[in-house]
Amino acid sequence: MSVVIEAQNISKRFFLGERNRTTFLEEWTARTRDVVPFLLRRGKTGSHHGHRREFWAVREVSFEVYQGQTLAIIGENGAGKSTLLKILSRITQPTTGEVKVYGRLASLLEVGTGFHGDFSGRDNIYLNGTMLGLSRKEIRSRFDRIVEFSELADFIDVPVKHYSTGMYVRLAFSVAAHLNPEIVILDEVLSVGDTGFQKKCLDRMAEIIREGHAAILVSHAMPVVRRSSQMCLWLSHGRVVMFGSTDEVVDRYEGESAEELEARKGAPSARFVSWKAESRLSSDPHTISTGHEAVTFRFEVELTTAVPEGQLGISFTNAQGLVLFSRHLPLQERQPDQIMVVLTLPSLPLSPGSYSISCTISNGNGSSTVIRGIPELRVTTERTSDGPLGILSLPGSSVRLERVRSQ
Amino acid sequence: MSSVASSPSSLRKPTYVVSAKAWLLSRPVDLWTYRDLFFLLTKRDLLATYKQTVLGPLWFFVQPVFASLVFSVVFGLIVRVSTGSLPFLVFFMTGFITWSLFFNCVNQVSQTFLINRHIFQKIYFPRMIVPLSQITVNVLNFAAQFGVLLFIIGFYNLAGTHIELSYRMIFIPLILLCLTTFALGLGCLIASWTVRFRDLNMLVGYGLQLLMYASCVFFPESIVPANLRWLVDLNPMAMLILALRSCLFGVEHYVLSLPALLVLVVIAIVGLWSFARTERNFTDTV
Repeated sequence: MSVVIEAQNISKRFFLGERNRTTFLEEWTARTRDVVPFLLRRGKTGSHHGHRREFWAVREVSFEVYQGQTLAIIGENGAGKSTLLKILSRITQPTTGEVKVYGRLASLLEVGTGFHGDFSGRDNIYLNGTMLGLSRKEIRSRFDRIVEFSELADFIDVPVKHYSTGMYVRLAFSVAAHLNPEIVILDEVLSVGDTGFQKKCLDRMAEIIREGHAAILVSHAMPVVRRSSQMCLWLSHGRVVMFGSTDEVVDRYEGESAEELEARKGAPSARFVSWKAESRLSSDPHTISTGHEAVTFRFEVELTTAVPEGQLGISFTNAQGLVLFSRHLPLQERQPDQIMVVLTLPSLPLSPGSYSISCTISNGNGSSTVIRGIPELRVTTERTSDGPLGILSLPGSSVRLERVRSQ
Repeated sequence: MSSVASSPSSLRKPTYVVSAKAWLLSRPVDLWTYRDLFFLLTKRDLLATYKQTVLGPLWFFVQPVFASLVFSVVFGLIVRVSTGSLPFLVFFMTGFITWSLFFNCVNQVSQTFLINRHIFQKIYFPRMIVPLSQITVNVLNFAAQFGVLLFIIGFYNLAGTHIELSYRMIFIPLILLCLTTFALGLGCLIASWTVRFRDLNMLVGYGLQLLMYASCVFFPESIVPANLRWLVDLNPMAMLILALRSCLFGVEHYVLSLPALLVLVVIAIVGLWSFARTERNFTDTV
């Protein structure tokens, strides 16, 4: 297997405070502020760069990605994931270290950048495509496929300023999806148009990865990470906590996150213990059969901090991130202890597939914690007539033909 | 793709290397790799200028003629600047379109980072593509205006006012090359500063206006008083405008000023150097 990305000892330093000072006048005031005390205290130790606090967004990160492999990057918000991606894609230079990239890298963070409203969809495909590193010849040979993918053939010669937001994003994504890069960078948030188109995009992504190209995936959804990546890089405060096979890293990430969350001030903390679904038709605790059977979910959660007043929320989300259903339960005067939440539904008429369950605990002042590591819910069906289309699989529904009587 | 699949990694050359030690974020060879982007950006900007206005391309020809007419009245009839054997309109228009080329180049190049920051924060391509394409657009516009100037000269000749063109016209492309290099350098220098100090743009507007008065746009070199000569001697734009008029009409036999040439080269080098430096890290501050 050949290596496609080789990152060695990457660090990136920012200076806090620098970002806000944007006028000449402010710069000079700031300089005088630094220089005057510095001159007065000459000889004494002390930094005259007081306002320029340094901050390492990424610190000594090394990893490799091999061909045909998907690497997931996980970590809390602010762990340095986006900065790392920016370094990989040559947006900004690292402060230390070196990255060698073999092959074309395309990042899908950049959907729709550089579009010009006065120009037609056609012109913008060319402009955006060349910006992303294709030649005009390459675009010409892919043009029809791009247009077909975007489902915008009728509007391709209309200036994009007349497009709806959905059309605009569809066009932009279609260009990005046809770059045929050797390495793809996928950011979690893929809010592309309607659900149908979103699924098409996700399928296209999966296809790119299946074709043997390497991918880097940034995600907070551990089920997605487990399913789609082999290697995992866990970052925290810019440093690598762990780099290894996905199962190992994610297991430890989910195990440790409870203690880590405890450290966060104010937010309640809890750990997921187990959950099971009790329904007549399935014996597997994480699988239910779609239909009109009643189903009872039992969630066991361990509160690791006291919750004087707050609430616990449970929601079901489909693979595209759409929240399908949620319930809240008030919590009062709870001491650290294990609690069992029982949710009974008369039926759960979902289409067959995998759904993630998320559980949130919040306290009165608005800070909340998402409990991680909850296994997915699988919905199966015995009846083949329930097609996979749509979100719901309504029991008892019927469809038939009726003759139209004409006089 | 096939090149990636074969050959062990130790033998392969990386497509690119991002290194803390690298002096340039983008390799100069990428300018060639992304040449199609350059063409399309140039085409886009050319068309965009014309698409926006009702009169469209006509503006481009009307504006310099109109401005030159105003200058003819102010400087020719009221201030009574001597323009030698040349009609006021031709004299002022030559200076004006040359100055406009320079001003537009500097002005647009100096805003490269600020205007395109949303693109630059997300996509990699050699940033220099943007200023280069803006300069190309301005040179093409200049060529069109120059055509109008030649047309007006032809009109004068038909009307009986004899205006002789010099064979030295063939040096004009060389002058334009120097002019755009200077504009690119100065624009890049300002672009790098405006990333840190947004209010600098205001200052630049005034600065360029002052420079215009020191650049012999509306008057011949001969009327510059001796105690202000250094302003002309050190000013690359004065040198270039005088050289252009000299090459076009064979008037004002102008010798290239060495100090001005030196200023031009220094500004171009420092400008490109700061641009490369800014390119590496500017997304951190903008």
